[in-house]
Amino acid sequence: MSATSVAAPSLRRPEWLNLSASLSLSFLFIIFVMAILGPMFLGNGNELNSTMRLKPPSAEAWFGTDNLGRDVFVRTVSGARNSVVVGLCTAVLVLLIGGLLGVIAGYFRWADMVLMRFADGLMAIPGILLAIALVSILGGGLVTVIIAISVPEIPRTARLLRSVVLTIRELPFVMASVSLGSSTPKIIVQHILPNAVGALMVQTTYVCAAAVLSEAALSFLGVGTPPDVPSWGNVIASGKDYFRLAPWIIAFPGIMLSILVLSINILGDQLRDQLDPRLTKRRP
Amino acid sequence: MYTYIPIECTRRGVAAAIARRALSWGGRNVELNTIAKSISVAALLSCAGLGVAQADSVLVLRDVGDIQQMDPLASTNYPMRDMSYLLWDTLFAMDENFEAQPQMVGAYSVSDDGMTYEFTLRDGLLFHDGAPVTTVDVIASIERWMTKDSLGLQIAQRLVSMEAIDDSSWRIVLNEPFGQLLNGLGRMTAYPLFIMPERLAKTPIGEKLPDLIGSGPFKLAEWRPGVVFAVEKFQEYVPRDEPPSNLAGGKVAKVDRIERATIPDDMSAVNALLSGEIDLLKGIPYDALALLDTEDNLEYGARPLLGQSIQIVLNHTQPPFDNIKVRQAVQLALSQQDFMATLLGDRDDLYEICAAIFMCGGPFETDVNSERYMNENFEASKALLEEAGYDGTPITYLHPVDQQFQRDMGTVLIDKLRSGGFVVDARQIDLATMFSRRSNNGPVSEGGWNMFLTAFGGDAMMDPLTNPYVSGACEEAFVGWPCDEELQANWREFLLADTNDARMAAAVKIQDRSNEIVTFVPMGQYFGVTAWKTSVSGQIDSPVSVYWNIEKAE
Amino acid sequence: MQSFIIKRLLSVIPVVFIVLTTVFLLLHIGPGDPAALIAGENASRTQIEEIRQRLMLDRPLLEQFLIYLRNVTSLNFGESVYSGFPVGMLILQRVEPTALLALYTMTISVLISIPMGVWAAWRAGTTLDRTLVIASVIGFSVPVFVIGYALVDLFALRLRWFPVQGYKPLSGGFLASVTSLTLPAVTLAFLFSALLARITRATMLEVLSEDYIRTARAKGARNGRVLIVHALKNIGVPVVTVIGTSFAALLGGVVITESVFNIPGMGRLTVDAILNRDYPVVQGVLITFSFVLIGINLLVDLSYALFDPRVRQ
Repeated sequence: MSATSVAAPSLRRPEWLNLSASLSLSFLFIIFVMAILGPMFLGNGNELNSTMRLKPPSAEAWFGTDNLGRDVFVRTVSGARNSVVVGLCTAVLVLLIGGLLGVIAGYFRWADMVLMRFADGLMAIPGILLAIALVSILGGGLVTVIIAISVPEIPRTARLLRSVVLTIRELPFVMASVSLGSSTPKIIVQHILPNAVGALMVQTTYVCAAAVLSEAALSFLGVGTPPDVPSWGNVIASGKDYFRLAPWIIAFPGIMLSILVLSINILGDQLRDQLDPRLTKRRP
Repeated sequence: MYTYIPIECTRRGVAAAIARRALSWGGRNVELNTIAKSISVAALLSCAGLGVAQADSVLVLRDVGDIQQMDPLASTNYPMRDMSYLLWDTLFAMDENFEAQPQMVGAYSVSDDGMTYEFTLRDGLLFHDGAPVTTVDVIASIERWMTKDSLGLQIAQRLVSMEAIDDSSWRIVLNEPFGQLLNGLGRMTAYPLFIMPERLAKTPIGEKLPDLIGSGPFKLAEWRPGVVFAVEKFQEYVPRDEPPSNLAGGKVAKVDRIERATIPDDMSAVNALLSGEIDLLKGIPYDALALLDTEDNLEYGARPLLGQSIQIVLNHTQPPFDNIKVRQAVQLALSQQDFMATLLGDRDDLYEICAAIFMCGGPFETDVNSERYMNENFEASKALLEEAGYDGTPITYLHPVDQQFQRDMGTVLIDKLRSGGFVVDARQIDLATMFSRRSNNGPVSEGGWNMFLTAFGGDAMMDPLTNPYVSGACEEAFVGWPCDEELQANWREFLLADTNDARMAAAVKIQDRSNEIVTFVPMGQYFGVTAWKTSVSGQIDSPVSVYWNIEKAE
Repeated sequence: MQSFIIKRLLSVIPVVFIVLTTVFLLLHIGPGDPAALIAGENASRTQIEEIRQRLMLDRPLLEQFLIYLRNVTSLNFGESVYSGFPVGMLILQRVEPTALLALYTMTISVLISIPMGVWAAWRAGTTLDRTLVIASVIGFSVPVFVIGYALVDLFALRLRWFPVQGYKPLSGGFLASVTSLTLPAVTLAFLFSALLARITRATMLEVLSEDYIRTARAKGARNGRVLIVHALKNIGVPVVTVIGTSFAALLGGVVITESVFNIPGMGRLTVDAILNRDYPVVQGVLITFSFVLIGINLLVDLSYALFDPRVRQ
């Protein structure tokens, strides 16, 4: 009798996932090109025109105009830059700070206690409320928004990395290296980090996707990026009062935002399956 | 017990609805899944409609803002003032010609020298706890008011004595004739003089009132900040016989209960009106009016009377606006049309390009010395800036972005200023930070500011004594702190004038001087829009929101 | 076991202290002066200064902190600086809609997502599985308020099945209350069933690849029986854990949803209080939220220990 006669549910990424991953990559590529080149050719879309208010999509304004007569297409294209900037910067910031704290906590017993209690404390405050409080205290602005979104994300990443480090440190070759008298920084750089990269990369894509959504949520509540820094979040937010009259203000950036987040998430899934199916358990 | 939305859903209502549905299916050939949908949904829906008939008449209204605190002398918050008018009555009240008429006062007399006044309360006035309104309560209320209101302070300066004659009459003696006394007792806005029980009137301003027992046509039923403020008809209230005229005349409660629901999001509020969840909605976003045009059971109109105006406020104490020419350059760079068009779109019936600082349509309207801000001229602005030696010091503009009005108007303002040659440093903040930061008259580097935008209503702007900008009183003035002896003299002339002609002459001088030194720049007068169900009638025209006399047909 | 529980309970203390300190510092080092807000439009600077003294905002930070700690430990959160109502009362007024919304959302999400996740894992690799995986990614990639507005437009304004906004309290009847919360709960459930379905599927996949299941299947056990007896038994604990820990994210979603649907719950109370700088209310609500989350985490950990003896060591 052979167990192989029953088809086990496949854990390997199937073909179709590759398809959606390459689709996601193409979308991300287009959005990046938009983010980089768009504002150069189209400007930032802040030009006001009180005679062109709330016009539906037309040949003149492809995505229509908003309540200040600004071209929604131009704002969507230039908004790509700021949404991408928020996503990437938050991801990098969280990766660096959270990663560093995680390594410290995982490697040094003395720091673990303090850092993890602090992480518990921060995680016990609902992230979005912490972010609103931070923005209203630090004052609105792209940088503040990035900081406010990052702070609640840091403990989670730190915790993840700590657990990865804790596992790696117990592996025989690391133990051997320690007993051979390698210096701590050397062990961290040579053994710990390379082994944690996978988990970190996956986590970073999720943070990036979550950051783009959080920015939109903050804008919706009126504490996001300032109005002359268009992001998909605040373009959508500025259209919420015109939801029934001028649905195009919300629709186009809304679709773009969803596609961006979707693409990042799919890519994250792909990356995770590629690197280690065991990570599946960590986080959706 | 509380009801957030008056529609109570009773079990009987649901059962009836289901039964009715069931009957109607019997005769018809309805597709199965349609039925399935109808069961749950129709039952839930009909209960919403059925409940109304069983409740007392309830008017549900939504106005912008929220009732955060309840002491009419602790702040000038409009929603709080409007609710205070329901809870508390006043001695005098302004009629539609803005003349003070007796309200709680039954009869009064003035001595020939104009310095002694005697007042008698009309009969039957009761507080909501059943106690009669007496002179003791009146005098305590006047005393509390005189420590806070600007006109009250002027009266206090001229007061020789205020004493009770008996339980229902009292005497006020002044040291000089003062034509503004009755206007003060019948103050319409800022700090109206509400008559409270003595124990409330003895509460220091800033401390919470022990309770909210009032003297007005409605009494407090329920108050949950951020959710609802509800009042019920006070059965024992005796209204005057005259027909209502602005705040004067009979205050008749024609519904049993008024609920003021707090709905922060404008579009949700419009949707709630469209689906019949509220009866009356103030502050409709202008662009949403198109949605109401197609609804037969809704009407809308421009309210309140006089509307409000946009004001650009400059800080006179800090560079570069300590230079009068730089301030005048701001006037040159701005014009009202773009502000109004951005705010109201093509609804030009709802705004007015208005030269008057005391509101168009108000008693002190004039266009004297308004040429600079009535026409936008970027070249002239740049030229004047050059002449003034403006060195490009950034204008620190407080730009609240958490409120759509401020966000949009600020965006227009910044655009104009930059075109007019100014360097603008826009500080994106929330409204709360603006309120706290603007009271700082220090340098920008120490948390100060140069410019902000606000919108007082016509009720305050129409009268030099309530218009916050025109006193010229330096440190004592409204934020921006314009300091000018000539303006102070003009203001005093208005205060002491005893005929309407003399008041008008003084008002013209005030506007001339105020625009010369640029205490503020008016950027257009516009109306809010209120919409209501056609079943609602009897709204009173007034610069404040008046809710008595409103009827609701079933 | 007992010592584990005691240890776990004690570990809450530093967390609570950190929450309290963070919340306090957040509010007191930033700009935005509640005294100026209370004083209102026409206030002079002396009036503002008087109010600041009355609220003890002029005291040294450390002194304010100690007063605050003393009050909080006696469960006294102070009074709203505006209405003067006790913060505890304001919170109690707002608990009902938020708690009900959270429960309602969780119920919908669990009912939809667990069967879906199990099914998808069972049929891993098929079209059905792919569709569900993609649908779940979409579910948490679309902003909550976009879903909310779309639902309002369709179900409240066009079909008129549900109210547009507002909340009807339980005292006015269970049915009315639930009706008023249906659209908000469905909105949130988009997000949460997506999350839960993903986790259920992933956990299920792992369980299905365990040797004993493969053995059972190989032995020719009927598919349905294997699924029910062996697999479901094993995904219970991790899924319950996830439900518990995702409560934090749920509360975040509740804040936005309450704004879209104008539900007078804890979320809107907090947002309003933060924007108005009503310090005592912000402190009270953040601390309450944190205690709820800490409590839930505690319960999850303890239940874990109950099921898995290894954790106790």
